[in-house]
Amino acid sequence: MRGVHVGLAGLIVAVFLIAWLETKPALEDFDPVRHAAFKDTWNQRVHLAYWEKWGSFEADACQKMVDTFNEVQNEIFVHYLRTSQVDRKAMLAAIGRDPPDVVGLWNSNVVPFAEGGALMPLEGLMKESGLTRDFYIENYLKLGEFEGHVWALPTAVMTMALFYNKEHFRSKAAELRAAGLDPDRVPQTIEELDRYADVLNEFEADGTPRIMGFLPTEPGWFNHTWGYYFGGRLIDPETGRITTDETANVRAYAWIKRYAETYGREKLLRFKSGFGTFDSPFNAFIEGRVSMEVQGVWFPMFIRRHRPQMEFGVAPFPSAAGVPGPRSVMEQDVIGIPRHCKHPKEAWKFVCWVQKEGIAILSRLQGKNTAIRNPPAWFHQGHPNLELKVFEDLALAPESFIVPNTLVGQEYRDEMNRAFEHIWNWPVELEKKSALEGLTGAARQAKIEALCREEVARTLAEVRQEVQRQLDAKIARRRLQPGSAD
Amino acid sequence: MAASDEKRGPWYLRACVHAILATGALFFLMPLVWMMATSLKPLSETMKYPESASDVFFGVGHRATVDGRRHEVILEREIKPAPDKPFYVVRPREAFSAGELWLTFGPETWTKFAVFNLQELGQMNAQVTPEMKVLADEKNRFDPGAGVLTLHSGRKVPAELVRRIDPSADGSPLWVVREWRPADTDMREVGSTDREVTRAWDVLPASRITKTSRVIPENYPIALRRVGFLRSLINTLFLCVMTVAGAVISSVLVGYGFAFLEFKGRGLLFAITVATMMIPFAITMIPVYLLYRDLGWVGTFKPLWVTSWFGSAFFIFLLRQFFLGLPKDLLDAARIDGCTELEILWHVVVPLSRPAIAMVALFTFLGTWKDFMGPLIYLNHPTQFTLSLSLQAFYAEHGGTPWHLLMAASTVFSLPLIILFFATMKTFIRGIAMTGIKG
Amino acid sequence: MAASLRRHLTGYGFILPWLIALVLFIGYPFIAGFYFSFCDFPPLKSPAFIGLDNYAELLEDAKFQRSLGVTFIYAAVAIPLGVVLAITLAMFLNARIRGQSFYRVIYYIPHLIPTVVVAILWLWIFNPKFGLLNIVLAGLMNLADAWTGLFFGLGAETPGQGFVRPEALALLAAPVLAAVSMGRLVPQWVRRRPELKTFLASVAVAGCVAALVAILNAALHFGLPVDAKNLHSPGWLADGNPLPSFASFAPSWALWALIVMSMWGVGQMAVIYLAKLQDVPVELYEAADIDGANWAQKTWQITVPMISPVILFNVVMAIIGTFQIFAEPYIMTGGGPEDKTRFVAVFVYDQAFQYQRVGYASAVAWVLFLMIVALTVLAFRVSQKRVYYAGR
Repeated sequence: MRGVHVGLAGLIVAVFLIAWLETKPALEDFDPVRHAAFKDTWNQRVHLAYWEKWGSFEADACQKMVDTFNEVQNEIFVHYLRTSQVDRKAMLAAIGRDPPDVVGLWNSNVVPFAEGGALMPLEGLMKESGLTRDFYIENYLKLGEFEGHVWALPTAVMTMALFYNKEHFRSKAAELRAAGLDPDRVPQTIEELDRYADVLNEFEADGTPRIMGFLPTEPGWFNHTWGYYFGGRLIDPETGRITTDETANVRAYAWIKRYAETYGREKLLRFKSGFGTFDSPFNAFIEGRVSMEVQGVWFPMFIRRHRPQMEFGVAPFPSAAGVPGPRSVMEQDVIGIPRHCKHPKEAWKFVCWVQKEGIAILSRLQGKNTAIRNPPAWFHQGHPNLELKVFEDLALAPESFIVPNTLVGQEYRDEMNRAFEHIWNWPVELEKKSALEGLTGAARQAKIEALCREEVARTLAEVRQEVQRQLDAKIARRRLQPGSAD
Repeated sequence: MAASDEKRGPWYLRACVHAILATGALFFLMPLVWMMATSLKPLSETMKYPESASDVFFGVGHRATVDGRRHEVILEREIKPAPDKPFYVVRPREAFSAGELWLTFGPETWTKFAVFNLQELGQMNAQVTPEMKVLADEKNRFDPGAGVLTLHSGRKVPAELVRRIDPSADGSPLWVVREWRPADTDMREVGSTDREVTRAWDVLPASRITKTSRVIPENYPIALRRVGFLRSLINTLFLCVMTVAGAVISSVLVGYGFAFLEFKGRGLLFAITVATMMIPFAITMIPVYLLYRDLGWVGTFKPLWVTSWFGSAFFIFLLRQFFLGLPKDLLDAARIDGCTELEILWHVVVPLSRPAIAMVALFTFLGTWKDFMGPLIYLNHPTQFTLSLSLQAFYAEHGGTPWHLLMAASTVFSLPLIILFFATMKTFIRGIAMTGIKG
Repeated sequence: MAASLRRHLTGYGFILPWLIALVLFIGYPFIAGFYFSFCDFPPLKSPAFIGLDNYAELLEDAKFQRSLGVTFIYAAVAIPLGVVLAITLAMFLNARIRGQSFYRVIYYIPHLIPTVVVAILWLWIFNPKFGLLNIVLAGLMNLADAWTGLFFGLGAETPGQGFVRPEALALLAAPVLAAVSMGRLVPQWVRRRPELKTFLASVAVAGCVAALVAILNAALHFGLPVDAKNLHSPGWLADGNPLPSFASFAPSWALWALIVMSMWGVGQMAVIYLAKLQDVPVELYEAADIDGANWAQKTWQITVPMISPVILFNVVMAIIGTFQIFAEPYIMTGGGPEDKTRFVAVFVYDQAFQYQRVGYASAVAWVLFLMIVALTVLAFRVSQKRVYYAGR
């Protein structure tokens, strides 16, 4: 009589046991191969989980930085866990109250995380540890601040510049000279850039581009900053109001639309899809399919990785005529300490060390410029990025800018990306067929440009209204929450 | 209802049906064939537009004899020597730094590397040791009489002539070829530290290079290692076992209760059960997530398998319908014999319901194996990832560039289910039929 | 009394796990979600009651409306297409030819592939430059162009020949042959030889198909706008423009890509229909044969009504399923381009876990639930007269 009942009861007990014993994976598993050097102090150390992004040699650089930290002291051991889509995962983990001890993010994540209460404020800890404002280049510190608190500190920073293919310039020297342009020089204004691009284009028989002089959709992460190169702004830094449809911004995106329309949208779509990412031999610039593009400080390292014999040059990206320059957007990878993490004190010790010593190691190994105003002497010796100076100068240039932190940063970026795609893909000839009836040649071109400009203005105004509405709604909702972010 | 040959219809209609089904089958299988074909190609071949039908499915490769041995080679660059601009392949007698070479471009000059290895040059301070060959021309000038190689930096290095390169005798173009190895196909290896310095290389006329098709099974171990296959497999199997056990046991128990036991509110509860099948996942997803969060279960496997031990509306419904179709006198006889309900369940009902139970097990296994959203929101640590999550993380990391590795991993991930299907085909089909009919 | 109490307790004991699930995992979240939808709730803080603000915002939210539009358009296209395809496939699989089980297996296999693998595989297939689909399409289009050129004198190689090549007139013979072989004009000596009649019929059918294809190709060459000609290599997942482009509410190329991908999995549905088809009593068909019904009548009057309960069930499940599509758009496009593949489940996920608005996400989820209920009730109502339950 007993058999089945006992069996069932036993099963239930077993299941409970399994559920009881199943816990989150422990960091403290000692791997005799990888952790041999730390055998003696392994059990005394506090183990921290550090979720960070990066792949290939950038990940090796981060690992080296973490290894250095683990070697110079005995109390803490940091586990660098390579995580893809680290911001999404960190947000999920924070919501699930299972965050890592130290997390690496992008500066665009700072405000959403801070607002949601997922990060610890660091300014008090900075003061105790002697990290002052003038240790940093001001803009890079500002990117991690919001409303008086420091939420995240910089790790690897960046500026963007114009990359140009010297091989193309050389092979087209005669045509460039014929057009009145100097093949040994870079364009100084955006209008000049257009003229260089016109000469450098090459087409197949059916009109599909084979080589594009300039392609504004590469790399595609900073499509919201084009307005700044024309003197526009996304947000008014004093009032915090959204200013998407300023005249300069409209000019900027009309300029972009010109690139989409001039060569045929479908042909460009075919051309620009199928390129690899920045870390691929099939990247548009590395492959030699695009002569000029805007890219960041990490790019020379990747070019040399995939096509070391390539001859390329770097110069500040030109601004429109009349707009002071040189200028560059400044963004960065940041590091922060999630709230409710297991070992906040030790996490701060690590973050503090990273700021004082780790950043220099990391930036040098990754071939980037650094957030520190006065890096140590050894930073520049043998720095693997031969074009570092351009980027460093841009970081210190007075016109270089950051997009100010705002409550709707993420939404704004998403809306701008959507607007950019919409503008790029808007089929003016189909949508406005009636307006274009009977026009040919130059008149048609002019009408197309006018229509595109209208659409750009309309789209940007739409974005502004939407984002402003969301911003106002967020500010209103904030008042409902008991206590602000502390 | 005799299924005789005459009833099968005229031959041309049957041929038509065959043709249509076969074409359809071809289209249905084509993606899978393409997946396997891509998984065996080298990286460069995945990013090339195929020139012929065979290129679509097989990677193009080249073979040549270099340094006395037959190697797989890649064609680096075509060179066109002119009589007054000779090329030489020389071997330096001293070491020098690769930075001292001059890298020139343009239609007439070309690239010279002492070492045809991207990793080497990524370090920019590569040493050219005396064993390496160097290709010299007017920039890095080689003086054959004096046996001296003048580098662009100005330094003179003694070198011996290996070969002078003249236009090929049979008029075929000259290519610089470099040894290629299957491990090159792993993008991660490019540019990282360590690894060998030289590969065999040479300058050969095209006629001495044979075209082959390149099949790279090495993609599989590389891909599986990068994705963390073994760990993910163990995690997925653990989840599958726990969910299958839970679903079977709970659904059988509850289905039995609804089918054979009388208690107040049985009808109402059953109707509610059926109604819950309509609740979309999105509604309960967030509050359930917060519930698990407060229990402290986020970051463990528990949210993914514990609910299966409480039953699922769909399987309860199916099993109850199935049980109702069993002969009741057997149960009554057992009851008269004095068995408890559990014993009746175990000794009488279960043996009769093997097909239905097998179906529940199979479908639960399938569902857990394929599940993506659950692991996405509940598993935080890479060591816990299931197969689906590992593959997605691998894809997200590289944005889709190493298609050959992605396809290799995908092939391996799909295989277990297909094998399981073939092993249990009858149960599968019967289960699907039951789903359809009862619905 | 004790015995019946004992019986009740035993019953409840057996269904205890399910009762717990009903309360804890279904009932409580249901109600909690309802409460959250009236709050502003960043997940790391506590819910703050704000009344109907979330719902009011829902009505104005352009992004939500876009997501809803995407989901509905997808449902409107994919569900009927899937049903038709699945039933057709099931009927073919039901035909009595050899190797039937082999075919059934092949058509079912795509359903066994894990979702992530399907997403990544089709991402690769839809790659505009190197993907299989564009390679095949380019090949087919080249073939079609050559075919059309054969008949319609297109291209510079045939100057002075006029628009229609004389050989094309041979095509006209096909419809004539069709009329002859099927209709009244059949001469006696042909009628006496049924094989000849069949042969003529097949030739006629083939000719009609060829003529149709050629005419279609010519139309493609001249009639349709520029972007349809780009079947030579469309951008698929990167392209947010509608196809066909004259209908602005039509699915975008990206959405069509997802629809094509879901068609790949009709094997599952087909097997279910197949099972039900095999349940249809053969006597019905025999009776129809005696009455002299042809193939089309048999299908519409017998087959479809007999399997209509399954159709209804599948349509309802498909509607519910469409509101839950998450993995494919999440992996393949992330919602883009231009939000053209942002299904509502992706929208809810984003609102909850990206923008940290659990309250708003709950409100959206509740609106979706109501829509699902409404659609399901509608489906049942519409089908009242059409669905035939044999012997229920």
